[in-house]
Amino acid sequence: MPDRLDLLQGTLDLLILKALSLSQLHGYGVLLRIQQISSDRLEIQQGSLYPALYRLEHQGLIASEWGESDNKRKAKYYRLTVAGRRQLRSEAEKWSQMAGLMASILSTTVEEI
Amino acid sequence: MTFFARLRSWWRATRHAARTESDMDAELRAHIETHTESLIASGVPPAQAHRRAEFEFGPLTNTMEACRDARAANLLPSLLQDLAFGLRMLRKSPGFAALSVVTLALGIGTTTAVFSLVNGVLLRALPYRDPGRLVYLFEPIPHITGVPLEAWGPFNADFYDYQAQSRSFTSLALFTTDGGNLSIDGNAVHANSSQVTGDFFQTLGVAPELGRALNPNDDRPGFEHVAVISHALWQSQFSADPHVVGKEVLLNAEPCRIIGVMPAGFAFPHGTESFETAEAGGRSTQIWVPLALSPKEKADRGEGPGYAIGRLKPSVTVARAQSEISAITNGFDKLHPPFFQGAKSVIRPFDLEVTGGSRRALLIFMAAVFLVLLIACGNIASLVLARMHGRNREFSLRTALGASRVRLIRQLSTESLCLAGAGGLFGVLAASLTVRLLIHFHPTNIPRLEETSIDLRVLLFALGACCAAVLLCGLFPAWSSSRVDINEVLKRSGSRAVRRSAAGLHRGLMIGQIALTFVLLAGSGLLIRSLLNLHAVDKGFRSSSTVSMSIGLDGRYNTPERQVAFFREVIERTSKLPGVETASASNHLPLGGGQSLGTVEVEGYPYDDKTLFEQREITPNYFATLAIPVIEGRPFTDADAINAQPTIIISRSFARKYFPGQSALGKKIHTTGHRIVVGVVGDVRQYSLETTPPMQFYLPLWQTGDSPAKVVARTNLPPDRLASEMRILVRNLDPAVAVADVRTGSDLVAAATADRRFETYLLTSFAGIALFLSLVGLYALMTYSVEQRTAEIGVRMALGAQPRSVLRLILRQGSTLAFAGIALGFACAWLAARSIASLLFQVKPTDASTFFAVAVLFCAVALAACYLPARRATRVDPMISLRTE
Repeated sequence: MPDRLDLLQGTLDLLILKALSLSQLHGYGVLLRIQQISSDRLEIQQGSLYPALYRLEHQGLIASEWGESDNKRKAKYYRLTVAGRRQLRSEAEKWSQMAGLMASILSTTVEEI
Repeated sequence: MTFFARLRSWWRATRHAARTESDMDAELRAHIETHTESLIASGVPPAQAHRRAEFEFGPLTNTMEACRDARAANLLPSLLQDLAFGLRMLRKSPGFAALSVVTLALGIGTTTAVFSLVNGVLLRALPYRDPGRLVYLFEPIPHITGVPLEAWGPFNADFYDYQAQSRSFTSLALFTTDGGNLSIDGNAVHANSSQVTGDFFQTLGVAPELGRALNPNDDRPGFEHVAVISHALWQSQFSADPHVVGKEVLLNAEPCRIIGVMPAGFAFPHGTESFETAEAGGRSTQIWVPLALSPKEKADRGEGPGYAIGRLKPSVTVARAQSEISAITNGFDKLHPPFFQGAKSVIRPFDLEVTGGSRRALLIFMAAVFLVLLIACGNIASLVLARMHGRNREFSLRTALGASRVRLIRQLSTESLCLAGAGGLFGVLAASLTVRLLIHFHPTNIPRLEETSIDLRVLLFALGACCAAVLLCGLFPAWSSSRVDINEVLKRSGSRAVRRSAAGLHRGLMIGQIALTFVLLAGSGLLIRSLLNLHAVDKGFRSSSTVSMSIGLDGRYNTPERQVAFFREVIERTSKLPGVETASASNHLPLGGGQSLGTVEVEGYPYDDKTLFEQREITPNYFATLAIPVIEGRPFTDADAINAQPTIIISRSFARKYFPGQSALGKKIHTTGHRIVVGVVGDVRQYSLETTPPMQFYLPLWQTGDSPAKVVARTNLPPDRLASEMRILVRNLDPAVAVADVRTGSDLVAAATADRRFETYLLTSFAGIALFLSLVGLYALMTYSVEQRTAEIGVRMALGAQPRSVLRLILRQGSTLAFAGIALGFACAWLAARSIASLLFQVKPTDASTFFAVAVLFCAVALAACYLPARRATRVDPMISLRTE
């Protein structure tokens, strides 16, 4: 089993937006999708997913409607709104800039200074 | 955009709270069930799968709470919950709620009412264009004392010099304040009239609502038979006839054509504090006519019937105009007749002059009412503090159960807001009532009082006062009680967690309140003493059972003989009316407004032009009608007529000063002829009840002839009856002459004391309210303290203390506070009393007996306020109080 990483503060929202950008999902589906695309390397407290979903919906970044799941259960499906898509783009850009910057800082050696 | 999304989401969550809740529940359960199924599918035994799924999901209730918070779905319900809880808590202690609301209503109510008054009189703009640039121009002659500055209008020629030479004014105008007989279609009424120069309306910057105003072309001899009337006169005498312009009326038997109607509210110059208005018996000017001085009159430097008003140019300050005008005055001063030389000119801002005398009183009331508001706020703070004591345990318990500090503060603020809201509501109600009462009492000396009403600004002020009260009362206890040390309180079973800082603050508040109240009480005590002194003052005449009225004659009565003949007839016929004891006439009545001063040359003394005497011209029965005692000699008789020996009657102080130790009878006095003293009468407070009368002399009206005149009768007839009889009588003599200003002697005295009564009642009610509030505060504090010391008292009693010593213990605690407050208040009042010196009459600002009387009174009621809680302390059952420990 690979090392599992705790979620960085504030990244759950971004992960949810990314997961929903691929297709609309219900809450459990979002969890599975994140585990799937992170190859099971992220530890997400299942319960913490829902306040995040509700917060994003409250902010108008995602929308929801009731539907039926694969196993014939009533389920609430979330999808990205236009504002959510825009938010995902700008957040992703910021994130990769930050990641690149952090990586280059951390890989700095004595010779390069 | 996200704001609207949030708002929509919040609204949905709030509005469909039940559905949102069940949706959330279903969604979370679906998650757990799906996870359970997938666990079973992956080989977990079904018995364990569900529990494991729940475990991996985490604490369900926390998640649900976090979900609700995420949508702010909790905001409104928890606010409503706070509100409902707050109201419930208030209902549980109705005594506290009632006292707090009454305190706030009194505080906010009086503040708003007096602010309305100040706002109406001081702050609201005068009904003229840019009133800040209007100034009066007075020309006093310093060596003539005893004449108020406002009586000094410039001499005619001086005015025209100012107008021609000054560069400081856009315009300058002269005006008079007169009254006259206005005859409309043969029906005579009295009208307040003003003769004005051509620039008058332009200077004030008010346009007529109908027709045109007077202009310089009208202000010429031969063109002056035009008039502008007031809105009120237009309505009352012309039924608001739109075709009134062009109508002919008679003013003092002179024909004039109405050319314009002024808008409602414009009534200058009558009713303006600075000028003699009581004489004309009205507060508003009704008709304006051109002054139209002839070239000869314009050149006169010894006559000046008018007052001057000017409009400063935008860039000119009062100081600059003053220096320019002073230079002009110096230039022509030597042209004055010798008696009037040494004239100075004084420029006074108009708005200051309009509210001048009352400004100080109003500011003192503002200060008083501010003190009341402070006391009210301090009071409600101590009420809330005392109540917090009883709720310590509740708050500790709630904190222990997880309520956050913010939550507690919010809870307390909501409660305070409930209180302040109710207090504010009742306060505004109380304020509008009070304003109505104030207008009802209508003291004569506060100009424009009738314009007072609650307006938006006042409402804002009330809300401000409300918010201040909320901040003061709500947040401090919220802050200090949310700092409760839970352990401490719970350990001590709540009842005796004494917070030293809060207790100290509480006592400090109380001492401050008592001190402020003492200041107000001392102030009102001084005013009450003044009022009593004023009522007890010897007026010198008897006002009861007299009725007076004014009758003015016009230019047709242009010789003393004609005037005397007219008034002789009036007096004779009046005396014969059934129910009339005696009747007489005079140029001015005591306290009836109006003043005439004169100089005399007394036999054996050099002529002294510096000493002014009050001069009255009277008919024979005058002293009998007003019950003025004749000390020596005789009153005038019908024999003191034009062709007879000129006679004079002098006042007692006159006789004492000039003829000490000898009889004044037969002495010679020179004033308008050489006269023989035939009588000495008592001193009369003619002009004001509050000033010692100057020396006075009387001349027989039959010898001088004068107009206008006051007729006064001693009668028990109702004034209206006498007035209608008199109207018929006068109309039979001359239909163009009107009877005006019918008043009883008691009315005149009441009017002369009205302002002082008003001030006294107002300040006394403030002091009463303050006293009530502080007693409530003291009572609350003592009750609180007794509750706090229940256990201690129980122990004392268990150890054998008698109820009397317990009573003494509590009373001592209360009286220590009261004495500290009274001592502080005594010191403050002693220092502050000087500021109301101008409002006092025959009392020193630091009148020791008043101060001590107030202190004793205060001590007595303060002890009474402490007595009830102390009595309760003596009834403490040691068993119960020890068991609850």
